[in-house]
Amino acid sequence: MTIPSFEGRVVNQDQVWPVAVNEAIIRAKQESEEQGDSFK
Amino acid sequence: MFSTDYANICPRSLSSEQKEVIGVKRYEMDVKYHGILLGKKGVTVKALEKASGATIRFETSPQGALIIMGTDNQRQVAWKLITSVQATLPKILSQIRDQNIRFSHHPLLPNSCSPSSPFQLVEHLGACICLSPPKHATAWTDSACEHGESFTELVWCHFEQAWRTHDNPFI
Repeated sequence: MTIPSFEGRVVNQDQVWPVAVNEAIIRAKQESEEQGDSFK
Repeated sequence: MFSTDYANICPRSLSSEQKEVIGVKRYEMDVKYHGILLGKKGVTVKALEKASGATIRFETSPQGALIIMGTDNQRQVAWKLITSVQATLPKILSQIRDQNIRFSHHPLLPNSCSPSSPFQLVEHLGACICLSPPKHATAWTDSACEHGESFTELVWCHFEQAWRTHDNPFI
C-alpha cells in the first residue's frame, strides 16, 4: 500500500493513521540523526 | 523508566566472522501509552518493528511494559523510535484530523447537512441511516473509542462505511 505524504489533506480516513505514523517515524529518524545517531 | 535486560539469551550466527546476538529487554511503560504505540489495527507497532528490525510486544500485567526483542542495535533503535513516536504521534494525528475533518466540508455530506460536531453528525444521519455505535459500545460516547482514535474519527469512519453500504443514503 502506498502511504500518501503528510502534506495536504488525507481524503481516505483509513490512511490517517498510516500517514501519521509514517510522519512520526520520519521525524524520529531525523531527530536522531541530528543528534549523531545512526539507524543502520 | 525501568528496564530489564535479558540480552544474549539467543546467539545466532550471521556469518563465520560476524556474530549477532538476539536479546530481550523489558521497559516499564504505563498501559495508557500502549494505545498510541499499538495504533489503529496495529499500524504503529508494525511500522516501529519494520523501521527498527526489532520485535515489540506489550505486557499489561503485573505492570504495563514493552518487551523489545532483537540485536543490541535493533533494540536501541526501537526504543529511540518508540520514545519519539510516543511524544509526536498524538500531535501529528491531531494536525491531520484538523486538516481533514471539517464537518461542514466533508465530501460525502450534502450541502443541506452541515453538523458542527460528531454528536450532531450522528443526530443528522439518524434521520437517513441507522448509524449504530461500535459493537463494543452501547452508545455514541467518547468511551466508544478503544484504539486511540478520536471520537470524531470513529464517527466519520462509521459514517463512511454506512454511506458505502447504503450507496449514498442522501439520494
